[in-house]
Amino acid sequence: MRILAYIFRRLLAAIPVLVGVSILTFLISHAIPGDPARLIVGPKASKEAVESIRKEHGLDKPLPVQYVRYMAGLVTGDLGQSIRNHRPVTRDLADYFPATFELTLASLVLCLAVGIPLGILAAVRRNRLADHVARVVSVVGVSTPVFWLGLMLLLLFYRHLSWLPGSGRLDVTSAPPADITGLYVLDALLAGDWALLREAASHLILPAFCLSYVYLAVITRIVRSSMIAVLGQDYIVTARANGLSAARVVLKHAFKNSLIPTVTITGLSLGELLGGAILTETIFAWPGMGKYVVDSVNSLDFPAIMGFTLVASAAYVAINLGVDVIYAFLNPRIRY
Amino acid sequence: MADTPLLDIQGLTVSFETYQGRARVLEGASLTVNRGEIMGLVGETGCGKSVLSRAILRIIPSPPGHIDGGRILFEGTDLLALPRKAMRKLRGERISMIFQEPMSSLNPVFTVGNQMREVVRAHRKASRAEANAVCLEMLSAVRLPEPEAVLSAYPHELSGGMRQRVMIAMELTCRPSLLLADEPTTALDVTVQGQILAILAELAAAENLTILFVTHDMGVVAQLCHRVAVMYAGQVVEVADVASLFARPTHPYTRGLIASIPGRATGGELTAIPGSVPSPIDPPPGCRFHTRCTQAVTACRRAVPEMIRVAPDHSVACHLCPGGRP
Ligand SMILES: Nc1ncnc2c1ncn2[C@@H]1O[C@H](COP(=O)(O)OP(=O)(O)O)[C@@H](O)[C@H]1O
Ligand SMILES: [Mg+2]
Repeated sequence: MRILAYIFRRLLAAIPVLVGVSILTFLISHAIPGDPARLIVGPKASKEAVESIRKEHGLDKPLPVQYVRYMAGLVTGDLGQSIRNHRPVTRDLADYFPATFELTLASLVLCLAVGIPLGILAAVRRNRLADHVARVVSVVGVSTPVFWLGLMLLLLFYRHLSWLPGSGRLDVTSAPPADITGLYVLDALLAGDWALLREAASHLILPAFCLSYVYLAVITRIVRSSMIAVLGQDYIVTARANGLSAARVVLKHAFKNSLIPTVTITGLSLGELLGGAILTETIFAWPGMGKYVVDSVNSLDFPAIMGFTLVASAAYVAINLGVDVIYAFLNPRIRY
Repeated sequence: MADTPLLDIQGLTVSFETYQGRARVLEGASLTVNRGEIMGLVGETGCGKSVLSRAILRIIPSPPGHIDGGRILFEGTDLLALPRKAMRKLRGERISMIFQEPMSSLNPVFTVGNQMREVVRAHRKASRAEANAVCLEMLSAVRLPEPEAVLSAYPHELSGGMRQRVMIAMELTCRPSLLLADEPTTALDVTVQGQILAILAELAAAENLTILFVTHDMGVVAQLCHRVAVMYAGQVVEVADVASLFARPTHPYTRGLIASIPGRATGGELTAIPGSVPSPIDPPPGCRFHTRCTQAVTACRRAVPEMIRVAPDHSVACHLCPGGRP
């Protein structure tokens, strides 16, 4: 119960943060020189046509008024209408966000599923083969540019070997599964459509691997070093002296302690994964928020930019909160 | 069988690989501990007391540590020849160990109950409730008030003295016959130290528990132990029952140690032994103490002295003692 109260307090505290973000984004996007109305109607359109577009989107009002109107809409769940395609921004986000979320989540799972065991192995077998492998993986990971890695993956697995598809979330001829979570892999699984599941998963592998690689390296290093620090602690000697098996000593006593720094870094990486998704989505033509926001910025689509920024900030706040909650579960010394 | 010692260590040699070279931290250390006694192991910091007690359980970190030779006979079996699995079975069940730092020797992220039950269930089939009952009984035995509350507490919620009692309780859940206590009271303040010593003495008597009590405090030895072994630079140099050791300390090092106990020094002056412990990487030849010994003769620089019995329960390794080669 104390934890629920804590979560509630933290959510309340997030409101001023999000308001601050909205003001900043609003000011910055409007400070950029350029007239979205002019971009829409084209350079040859009449002054009247431009004016009417401005009126239609409320761009003729002073900035504070525009902001207040925007916030009033926001409270009712209305993020305004895209200047570019005239669709409600919430609809666009609902279309694009799940794709990015799926990609990010898959990358995170990959990072953790490979990084944690590799880090543990490297720590336990320090300066032996597993450690050297982990070191090479890490060094290569942090020093490989994402776009280069993406292109190389495409070249190898798509062009030369034809093992995996190179773009999109599904083949162009396939219809997406019934929308339950918006994550195709999960939705196909829920619908029991194995062929579609295979297809969605095979589309996901390359971009997810590409996106996860840098953070895989980071997580491996963090797990390794925190594991090494923990394995030198007195309570590990106690556990061994008590006759516990090596597996129990490492996987129970050491691992839970080493998770504390790992969770912090994972939380930070997850935020960066969301950001890194933009580049990866471009390489693999992944129809997510990354592509959407690039297009929005190019056409000065204020409501779309605002919507994206708010969603991204809310995600960031949520991740941080999640990290703090897990932290409290892991570390009984934390008071909340 | 009855008169074979519970623990018989012979010529134990342990070294560590360091950047400066190989450190011979224990060199032919020998020691016997009889059933039911509290054996003190004293010596200055760095002389190898912790390494010796950890070697018994074979929990010396390796690398860099390595047991190069010797025998550790426990109830007649050589622990150094035991397969890994059998050795693991012994730890915590037949031989237990408590450590100096009660603050850090319990895992901070698990409750006391979780850690204690785990030890019980690592060594015998027991339901959670059965394990709990054993833990509660042991917690009461170390005179912890409200054992249920302690069981569900995290280590940081307990004081240092309470944690050390929890450690003792945890290590005795399987009724081991030997308890290795590596300076268990050094980190505690004096009143708590007294309580812990009292509990250990009481348990030793009640449970027929044998204790190897490591300390650098001669006062604690006098208060608690039946017999005592004095270590210097990786070797045991004198073994005696407590009364004769204090009455007739024979090795010059032992005499120095006793003279440096506050309040004991004649003339009210505290006489610390001059010089410092030699480096285990390049130990002096012959008797390792000769570099600090005021009476050293040529033989001391040449040959390692052997243990000589000077009284029924009193042995010493010194060229100068009566019966030794001068
Ligand atoms: N892990 C280790 N690596 C290198 N040297 C060690 C290690 N552990 C202990 N030693 C060395 O062994 C010697 C004895 O240490 P120890 O047994 O801890 O002494 P004490 O008598 O104070 O308990 C010291 O010189 C110490 O430097
Ligand atoms: Mg020590």
